[in-house]
Amino acid sequence: MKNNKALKFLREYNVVVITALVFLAAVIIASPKFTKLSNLSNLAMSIGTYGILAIGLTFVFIVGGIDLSIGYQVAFCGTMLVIIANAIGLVPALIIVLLMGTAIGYLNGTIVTRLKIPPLIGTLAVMTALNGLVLLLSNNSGNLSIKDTMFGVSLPEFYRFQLFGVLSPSIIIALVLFVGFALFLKYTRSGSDMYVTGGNPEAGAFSGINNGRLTRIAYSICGLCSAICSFLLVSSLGASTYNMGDGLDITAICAVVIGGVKMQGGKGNMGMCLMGVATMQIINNAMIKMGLHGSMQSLVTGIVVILVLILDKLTSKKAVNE
Amino acid sequence: MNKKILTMLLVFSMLFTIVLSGCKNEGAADTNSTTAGGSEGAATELPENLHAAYAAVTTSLAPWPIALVNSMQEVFDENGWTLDVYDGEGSPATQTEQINSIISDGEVDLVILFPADSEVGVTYVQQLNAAGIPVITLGSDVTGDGQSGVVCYVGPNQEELVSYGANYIKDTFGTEEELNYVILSGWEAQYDYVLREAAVNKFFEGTPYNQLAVKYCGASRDTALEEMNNLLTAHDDIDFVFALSDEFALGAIQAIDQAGRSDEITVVSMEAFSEGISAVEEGTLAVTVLMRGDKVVEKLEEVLQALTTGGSIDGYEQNSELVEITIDNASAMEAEY
Repeated sequence: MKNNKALKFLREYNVVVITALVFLAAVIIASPKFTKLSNLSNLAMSIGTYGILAIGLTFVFIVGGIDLSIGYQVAFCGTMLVIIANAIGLVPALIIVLLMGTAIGYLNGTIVTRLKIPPLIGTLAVMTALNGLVLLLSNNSGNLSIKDTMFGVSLPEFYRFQLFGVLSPSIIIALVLFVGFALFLKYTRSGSDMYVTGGNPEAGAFSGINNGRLTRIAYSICGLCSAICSFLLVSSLGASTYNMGDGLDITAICAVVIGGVKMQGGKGNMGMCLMGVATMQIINNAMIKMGLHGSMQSLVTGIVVILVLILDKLTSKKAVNE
Repeated sequence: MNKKILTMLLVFSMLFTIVLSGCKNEGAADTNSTTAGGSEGAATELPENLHAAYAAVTTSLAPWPIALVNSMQEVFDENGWTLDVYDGEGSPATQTEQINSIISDGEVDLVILFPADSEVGVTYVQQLNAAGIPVITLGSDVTGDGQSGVVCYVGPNQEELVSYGANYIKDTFGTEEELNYVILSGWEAQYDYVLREAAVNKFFEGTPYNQLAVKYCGASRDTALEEMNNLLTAHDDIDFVFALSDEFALGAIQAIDQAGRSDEITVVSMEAFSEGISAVEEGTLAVTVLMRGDKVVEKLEEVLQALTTGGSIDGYEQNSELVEITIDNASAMEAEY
């Protein structure tokens, strides 16, 4: 009986428990550097920046898809942002790039829904094309530095600015998106229908749900989030670099999976997404504080992902048996 | 419902911690402002028990940075200084996180920077200066905008590095005959490659040499091989290759050999790691230039000893010695890596 209660608790609260444990481990192992208030502020900024990417990917997962091109969407949008901003100014460039990112997402959605190409293959092809474009635009390994300013300050200064000493632009933007999209998923017809599209598309079709349209919307949101993330990354670096998207797809996928969003579709929410991103960034931050090599960070992240998946499998199995 | 409450509690407790960080900024410097200039505004007096951070583009992916970090650790141990090493893994994004971490820790007296990207490195220098942390660049500098914030650059003189290969070509072929050449470079964003490329152009200005192409190979011999194959296909009149690293030279030599044009094309290079010196001994590489990591670190040690004892340094560029390697002395040279 006690075992059943414990398993039920784990099944329902697993991602919360994992995030709490990871945070606690970081506090114990990596203190006092980790718990330094300025470090927690940096941590919040990185959660905001990468959280935006994970928000977009969550939508794709909910409708049962996957998007391997998000890393290169970020790189491409970042490169285009700098090129256009240096030509006509940052604000128009930002608008254009946000539209561009959304369009790339819509393209992914169209490839998946209208051409009926499996998401893994379709987005892989888009990823390859975007990689080529980025290398071409950045002359095969260069970078492009951005000359324009935001509200009269350089972009790196803008990125590190803190409203009321707490809220940086990445946190503010992430919070707005998080709340907005959480409300969208919970309280709008399209939002709730997305779960049906991902969880049981046949039933959705019978009920008159336009699965294709909702899938394209999900991918478009993902593209938009990639474009926003690219702006923040360019801001933090003061430039776009040809490899700025490297590994971001894996980072985002791991974050979303750790958060408990199902890759099969039909399950997930912004809270889970946030937990997953927080866990990933806490691990990353603590590893840096402990002076561990990047490969060690990847190893630890991989282990956490596997543990989460095992835990989820075990608790789901027990639920079925009950 | 309970799940929501628990989740909210966890989120709010984390947010509360973060809010505290904003309210009580523990003496971490205001990184929103940019100070005017490093060598004027930042401290150039360092404590005797120096604690430095070495933020490197990589400490594992390429031989030259590996040689640097190995020597640095020894020197720091000998002098009783403390060194924290951060491996940027070739990624500006990773290095940015590490710089943020160094600033938030607030423990180091100095950052020794080998930037992953020379433009982005300017941002690092500004942030570090704003946090009151002086910067010395090592091996590769930041671009011009950021140099005013750097105490000094320690490393090889890039123009001198190129001069040996350039003079070899001029002495061997003369400056009357029209020749065609290509440049194989590394990361376009890295300032040492920018300077080397500019030096090649400078040394060949006024000569009848035609530059057919510049190709960027990152840090990869395979990329250099591929690029050279493409160049050999596109041009049947290449006379020499100016490789800005032995790594690329070796890729080029392989491609030239496969194309059966080894007798037609001369390759000159620099950096002189063991395979490069062997290639010179074999006669497949005409010139390379030894830039030893331990000599660079020796120069760094001189600089740090001056700054930790109240002394001063003379000049922005603190260059290490270079040795030209040709077939005449290759067998006597020992590579560092």
